Amino acid sequence: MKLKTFFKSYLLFLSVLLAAISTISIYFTNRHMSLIHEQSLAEYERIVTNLEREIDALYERDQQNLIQGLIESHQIFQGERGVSLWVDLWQADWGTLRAYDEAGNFIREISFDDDPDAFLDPSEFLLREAPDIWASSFGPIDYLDIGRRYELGIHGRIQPGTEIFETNVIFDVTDSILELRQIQRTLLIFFITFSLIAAGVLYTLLNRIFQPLELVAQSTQKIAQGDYGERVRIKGTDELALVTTNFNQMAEVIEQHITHLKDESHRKQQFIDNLAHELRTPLTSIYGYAEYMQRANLDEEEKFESTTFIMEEAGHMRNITNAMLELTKLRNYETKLEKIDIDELFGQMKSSLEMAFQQQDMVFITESAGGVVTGQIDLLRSLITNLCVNGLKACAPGVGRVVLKGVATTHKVEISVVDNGSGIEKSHIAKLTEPFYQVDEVRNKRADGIGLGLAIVKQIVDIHEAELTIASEVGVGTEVKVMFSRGVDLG
Amino acid sequence: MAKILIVEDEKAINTLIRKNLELVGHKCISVFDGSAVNEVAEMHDFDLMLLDIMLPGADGFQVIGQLIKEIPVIFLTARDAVGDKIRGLNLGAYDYMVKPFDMLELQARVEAVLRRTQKTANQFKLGEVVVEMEGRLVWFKGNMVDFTPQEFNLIEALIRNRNIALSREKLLDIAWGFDYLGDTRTVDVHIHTIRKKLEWEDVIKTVYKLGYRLEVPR
Repeated sequence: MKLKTFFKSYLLFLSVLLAAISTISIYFTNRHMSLIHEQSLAEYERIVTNLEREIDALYERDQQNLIQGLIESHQIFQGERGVSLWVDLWQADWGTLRAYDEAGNFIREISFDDDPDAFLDPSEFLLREAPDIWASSFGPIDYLDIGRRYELGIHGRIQPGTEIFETNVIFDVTDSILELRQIQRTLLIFFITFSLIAAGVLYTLLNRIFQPLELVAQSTQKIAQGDYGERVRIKGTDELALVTTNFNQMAEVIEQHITHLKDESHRKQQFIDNLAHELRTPLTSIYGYAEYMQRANLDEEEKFESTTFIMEEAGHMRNITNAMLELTKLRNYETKLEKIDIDELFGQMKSSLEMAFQQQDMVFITESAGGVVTGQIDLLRSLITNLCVNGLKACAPGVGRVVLKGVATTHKVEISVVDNGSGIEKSHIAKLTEPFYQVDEVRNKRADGIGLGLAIVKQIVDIHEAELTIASEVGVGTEVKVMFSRGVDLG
Repeated sequence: MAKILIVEDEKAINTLIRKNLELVGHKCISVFDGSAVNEVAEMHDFDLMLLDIMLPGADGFQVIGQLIKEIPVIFLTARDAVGDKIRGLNLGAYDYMVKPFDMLELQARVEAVLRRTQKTANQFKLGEVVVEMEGRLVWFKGNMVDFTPQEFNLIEALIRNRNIALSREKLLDIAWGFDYLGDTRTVDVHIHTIRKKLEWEDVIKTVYKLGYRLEVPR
C-alpha cells in the first residue's frame, strides 16, 4: 500500500515538474531563437545593403565587369568573419525557389513569376545542422575539423541597377545554439537532480505518514487474531492520533464486550456443570431404589421406605427445577413497581415465618420505623423469605435469633436480615450469589437447600436496581443488607 | 458373611448401599460423618469399608489416612476426576467406584475385594444343600450332585447375588460368556435342571418379566 501511494504521488509530482521544466525550456528556446533570428536578420540587412550599394555604384559607373570580383571580395571578407555569402545573378529561367526546413526537407516552392518582390525581403530562415558537404561547398571556412556546427541561412534578393541578384547568407550560429543546448542541458540536470531529491523527500515523508498507519495495521491484525488487549500507542494531536484514539476506544469496547461474553458463557457453563452435579445425586438414589425394588423381594415396610426415598429425592429435584424456573422467570420479569408499606410487609413476613422459627425454638424479630419502599410485593416477599430462611439455617436451635430490620430515610430504604448463626468465611462471600454455590461443600444439611436461594435474591435485587451487601463473621453471625434507592424520594 | 462399614453422608444413598449389601447377607453399619469412623472402627472388626470422599467432619482422603485399624477400602463417590481416582488408589484403597452405581456392579466389586482379602465364604449352605465355591462341588442330602460347568456358573451367580433378581440375559452372560449366541430359553432349561437336582423349586423364584432370584432367609 505504501509503495503504491509512493509511486502514485511521485508520478504526479514528476508530471508537474516536467510540465514546469518544459514550459521554461520552451520559453528559453523561443526567446533564444528569435534573438538569433533578429541578430542574423540585422546582419543580413547590413551585408546585403552594403553589397547592393556597391554593385549599384558599379552599375552607375558602368563597370559591370567588376561585379563578380566585388562579390568574391565580399565573400572572402564575410568568410573571414565566419559568414558564408552566396550571391548569384538572377536568371529568369530559374523561375522558382525552394525553401527547406531545418532538417533539409522541402517545404514549399516560391515562384518568382507570381511574386517578383517575394525575394526582396528575407523570407526564409533555415536552421539546420550543417552537413559536411554543405559546409565545404562554401569554401573558405572548413567546418570539417570543428565537427557539429549550426548554420542559419537567410535568402533574399537585391536589385542593384537593373539586375536582380539572389543572396544567400549563411551564419554560423553554433555558439548560440550550443548556448541554448547548454541551458536545456542545465534544465535537464536540474530536473533529474530535483526528481531524485524529491523521491527521497517523498519517501521519507510517506514513511513518517505511514508509520502510525502501519502500527494501526499491526494492531488490527493482532486483534483479528484474538488478542483483544492490544492497543496502538501513538502520541500527538494530528488526524492520525485522533484515528488511533478512536481505534483504541473501539478496541476497549470490543474487549469489554468479549470479556463480558466470556464471563457470561463461563458462568453458564458453571451453572450447567453444577446443575448436572445437583441432579446426579438425587438421580443416583432414585435409580438405585427403583432397581432395588425391582430386584429384591421386599416386604411392605421396605417398599414404603424405598418409595419414600424415591419421592423425597424426586421432590428435591422438583425444588431445583422450580427454583430454576423462578430464576428464568425473574430474568424476563417486567417490573410493575408499587409503593409498599414496610410495617405492613414486615407484619406479613412475621406471620408467615414465625412458625418455622418457633419449631426450632428460635427467635424471629422484626424492627421497623415505618416508611414506604418502592418495589414488587411478591418479589420482596420472596427476597425476605429467602434471607430469613438462610438466617434460620445458619443458627443453632434454641439460641438462634434472626432480626428483620427496615430503615427508611428520604433517599433510601434499607432492609436487612441479621442472624447470630455460624457466620460465613470471607472467601465464600463473593461467590454466595452464584447458582448452586454452597458454603459447605459436603452439603451435610442438604435437605435444607439447593443453593439457589441467594441467586434468586440477587436477581430480585437487580430487578429493583437495589444493592446487596453481605457482612459476616465466623461464630458471630451474618448481616445481609438490601439498599433500595430507586423511586424512594418520589413518595 | 462380611462386616461392612458404610461411610456416606447422604442418608438415602447410605441406606440404599446398606440394603443392597444386606440382601446378600453382609452385616452393615452406617456412618454419616467422616470424623466418626475411627470411633466405630474401634468397636467392630470390619472386613470392608465403603467410603465417600465429600464428607462432613473429615473427607474420605483424611479418613483413610487416619484409620487406626487396617480396613480394606472401596471409594464410592460422585467425584469422577482421574486425579481423585489416582489419589484414592494411591492412599491404599482397593477400588474406586463412581456414582451413580449399578447394584450388581457394587456387589461384584465388594465380592472381588472380599475374595482378595479371603473374607468371602467358601461354602454356601441352605437346608440340605452345600455348595463349595472354590472346589465347584455341590452336595445334596450328603451326596455329591453332578453339575455341568454352565450349571455351576449359574448357581454360583445366583448365590453370590442371592435375594437379587438376575435377568436371563445377565445369567446367560455370566454362565456362558458374552460371546455366546444362545437363546435365553437355555437359561430356563438349566434353571429347571438345577431346581430338580436340588429340590429348589421354591428357592429359585421366577421373577415376573425379569429372571430368577435365589431367595434366602435374611
